[in-house]
Amino acid sequence: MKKNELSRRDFSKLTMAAFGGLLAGAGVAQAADDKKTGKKNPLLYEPHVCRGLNTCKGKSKGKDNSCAGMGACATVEAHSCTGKNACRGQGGCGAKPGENACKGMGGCEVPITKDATWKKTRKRFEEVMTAEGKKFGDAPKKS
Amino acid sequence: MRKVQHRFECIQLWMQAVITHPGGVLEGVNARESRMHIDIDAREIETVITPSSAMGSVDRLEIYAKAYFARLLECLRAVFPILTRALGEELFDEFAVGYLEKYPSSSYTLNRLGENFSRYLDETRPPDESWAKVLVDLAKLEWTIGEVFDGPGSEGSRLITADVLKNIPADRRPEVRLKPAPGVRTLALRHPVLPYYNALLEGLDVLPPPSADSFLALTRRDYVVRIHELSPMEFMLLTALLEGRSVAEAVALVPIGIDSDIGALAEDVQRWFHNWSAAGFFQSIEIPSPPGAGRSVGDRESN
Repeated sequence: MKKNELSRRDFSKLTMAAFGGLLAGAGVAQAADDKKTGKKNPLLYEPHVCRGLNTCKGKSKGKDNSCAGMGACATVEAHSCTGKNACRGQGGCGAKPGENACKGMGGCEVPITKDATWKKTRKRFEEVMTAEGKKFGDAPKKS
Repeated sequence: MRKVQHRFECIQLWMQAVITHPGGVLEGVNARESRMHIDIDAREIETVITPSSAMGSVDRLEIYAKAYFARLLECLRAVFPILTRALGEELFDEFAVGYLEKYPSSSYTLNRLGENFSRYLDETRPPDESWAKVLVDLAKLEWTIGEVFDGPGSEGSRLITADVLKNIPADRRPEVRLKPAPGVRTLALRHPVLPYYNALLEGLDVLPPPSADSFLALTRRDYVVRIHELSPMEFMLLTALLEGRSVAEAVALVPIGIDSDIGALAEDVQRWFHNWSAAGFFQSIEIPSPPGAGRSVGDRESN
């Protein structure tokens, strides 16, 4: 059998497999949607889901869905469901608008050199590794 | 020093240029952006900002300049909470200050403030140090998750249905192009940072992962960002489909040789397409219209 004939036939087989998978998966997605829309509280479909409506509801590992933080859904075997259910970008940044002190805002006026920051990061990395009893090599010299 | 009257609008624009200047107030006053509105140098600052009995003009302006950057730091911490946790707040802030100096906020929305942060970390990291590259990838992942979360999602829109797919004639199926659901995207990383991200999210104290290629697909369903790990081949095919290639064109990317186990490959391909479809990655289909025909199948589906 010639190589190109084999490829054509195999290519066709793969394309059929792809479409078959697509078809079956669409059925799964549709069934899941039907089930969901039949059972869930319609409030979940309103636009303002961030206000106390945790879309990770029912997931045992889910956390609260506060506007200041992040919710986490359960991690299932096929994929990681990572919730970011924050009202980020809404309502501005900072809990105390108008407060103009830099107290506690490290680095606000410090002239930082990138090297210094990365050196500190390396130090932190070494601390974490050491705490875990892991070995690590010396940092390469800067080129 | 003689006080000069300036138009209120000029003072507003000048003050904005001064307090948002990454080099600080003095550099800000001397900068072209502020002199466009009020042409003074730092020695003349009292002609615009009156000193108080307790503070000089520069000090008074610095309150606002520091507050401005403090707010931006807060924003960046809010956008990168996991990276902040990995680095610690103090270190994160140091990186953030350097970042804001190099990539000042320039958009009308703070949602874009962190869009170059992973690039900045990559540009400034020590070379050949894997742990530093992990942080770049972590920032990249966290930013992408945020983009998918904030961007359009598939909520309220229809996905492709089995009925529509079944109606496509067998000979036209290879030509089908799959229109992605809003927000679906792929991401290639140099480190498998997703488990690291998840562990940090759970508040666990974990080590950064060693170097290894990692491929992900992200989507948002029911307002939750969902992340799927992909094999390299899956990544290649799915990326091709998201870029608008047909099923046949994507499948053609699978390397087939004389010795290939076609049965196993077909099973893989079927499973991949099944998973993507079941995960809601595709919204509708398009089929090029045959010569002389009117609308395509995709036109009917993507109403």
